[in-house]
Amino acid sequence: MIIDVHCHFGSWPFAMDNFGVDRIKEYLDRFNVTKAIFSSSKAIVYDFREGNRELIELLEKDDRLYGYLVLNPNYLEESIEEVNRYLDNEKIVGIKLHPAYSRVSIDDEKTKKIIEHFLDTKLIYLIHTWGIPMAIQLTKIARQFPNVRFIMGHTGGDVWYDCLDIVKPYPNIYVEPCSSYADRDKLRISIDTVGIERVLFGTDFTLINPSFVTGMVECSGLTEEEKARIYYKNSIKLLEGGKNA
Amino acid sequence: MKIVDANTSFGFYPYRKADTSLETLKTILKSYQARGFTLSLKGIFYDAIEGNEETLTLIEREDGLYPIATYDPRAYPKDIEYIENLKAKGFLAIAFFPRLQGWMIDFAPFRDVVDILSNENLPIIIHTSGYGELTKISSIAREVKNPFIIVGSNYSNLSEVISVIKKLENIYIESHLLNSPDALEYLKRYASLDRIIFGSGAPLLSFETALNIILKSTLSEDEKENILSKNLEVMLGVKL
Repeated sequence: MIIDVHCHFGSWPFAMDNFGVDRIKEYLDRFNVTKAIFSSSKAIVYDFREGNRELIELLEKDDRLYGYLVLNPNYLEESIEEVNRYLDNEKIVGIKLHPAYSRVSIDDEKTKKIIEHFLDTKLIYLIHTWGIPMAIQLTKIARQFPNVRFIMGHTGGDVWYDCLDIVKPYPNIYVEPCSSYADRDKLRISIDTVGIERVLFGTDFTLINPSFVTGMVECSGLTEEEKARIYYKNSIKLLEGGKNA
Repeated sequence: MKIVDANTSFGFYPYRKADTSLETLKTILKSYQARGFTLSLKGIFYDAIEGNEETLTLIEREDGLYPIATYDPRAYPKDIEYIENLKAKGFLAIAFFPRLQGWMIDFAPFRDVVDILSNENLPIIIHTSGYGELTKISSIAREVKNPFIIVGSNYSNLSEVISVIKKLENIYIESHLLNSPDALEYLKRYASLDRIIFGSGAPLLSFETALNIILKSTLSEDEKENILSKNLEVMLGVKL
C-alpha cells in the first residue's frame, strides 16, 4: 500500500505530456499507489479558482484520487470563499500553498488569516518549502498554530539537510522528501532527525517520476516497518486526524 | 542485464556529512552487479591532478570500476600537460564540473582544454544544468569529434536535449536526472534513445532511483539494455 501526499494535475510548461485521468490511473497502478492527493498546476501557477474547479472534476473519476485546494493569499477573500465552497467535498483533505508562485511568504499576515479562519476544519496544509528562509517561515506559523498540521513539501529542497534541523522542534511539521535529487541517505537522516512518525511519502507526480522517491525509500536501508510507516501508515494517521476523519 | 554506470564518484564530500567512500560505492555497485565509471571527489573539490592520481591508485578494474579523469579550467594552464595523454594513463574519459566550480561553458580556458582533448578523441563528460548550457556545449561539440556526455539534464530543459541530440551525433545524455514521468518515452518519440547513457550519481545519490527510471519505464527490454550498457559500449568502441 502507498499513499502519495504530493501529486499534481494539469499541464507543465516543459517537454512532457499533459497527463489526463487515464495516464494518471496507469501510473498509480504501476507504482501500487492506493491513494494520491493532488493539487492543480493551473491553480498554482495561474488562476487558483479555475484550477481548483478542474481538480474537483478529476477527483470524481477515481476512488484513489484526493485533493488539496490551492489558495492564493494575494486574493484573501476569494481564498476564504474557495475553501467554503468545497469544504464539504469528501475528497478535499487540505490546502496547498506555493509561496514561490504566489510570491506571498509562508508567514505573511494574509496566509495567517487563512489558517486562522479555518482553524476548526482540521485541514492539512501542504506547503512548498525550498530553502532555509522558507523553512524558518514555516516554523513561525507552526509555532503560532500548534494544532494545525503542516507538510513541508520537498523538505527544503537542496538544503534539506539543514532544514530538517530547523523544523525538528515542531511536532506539527511533517516532512516529505520529493526532489529532483534523489539523495541516497535523505530518508534515513530524515527519520533520525525528526522521527519516523513525521516522515511522509510524496513524489511530485505528474512533474516528477515516482521512481525518484520509491528508489530513495528502497535504497535507504530502512526496516520493513519503517518503509510501511513512510509509504502509508503515517499518512493514514495524519488523514485520520483530518477533516474527513 | 548488464549495467554500466557512467556517473559515480568516491572520496570526501564537503558540503554535508555523507558516506561517499570508495567502499560504499563498491558495495552499492556489487549489490546490483553493476560496473561504473568513477573518479575521486578530490579532483573536483581540491586538485585535479592529485585527484586523478588517487583515482588511478585506488580503483581496480577487478572491482568493476573504470577510471575517469578531471581537470579544472580555472587552473589553466597549470598541469595542462597532464591531460595530453590520458588514454595512455588508463582513463576512459574526462569529466568537468562547471556548476560546482563556478565557471561557464563559454569560459575561454575550457575551450583551450577541449582543443587539447580533441587530439585523442577522449569522451568528455560535463556536469551542468540550466537553460542554454547544453546549447553552448553543442557549439563546441560541433567543432570536434569527441563524444560529449551531458550530466544534469532534467524536465526543465528536456526540450533543449531533444533539439540538440537531433542535430549532433556526438552529444550523449546521462540519465539520472531525466525526472519527468515520461522523459524516456518522450525522447524516444521526438529524438532517439541511442545516445542515452545510464548514470546514477552514486553513492551520494540513489542508485535504485536511477535504475528504476529505466526499468520501470515502458521501453522494450532491448531499449533498456541499450541505455544500461550498450550505448556506452558502442560510443567507446569497447566491451566493458
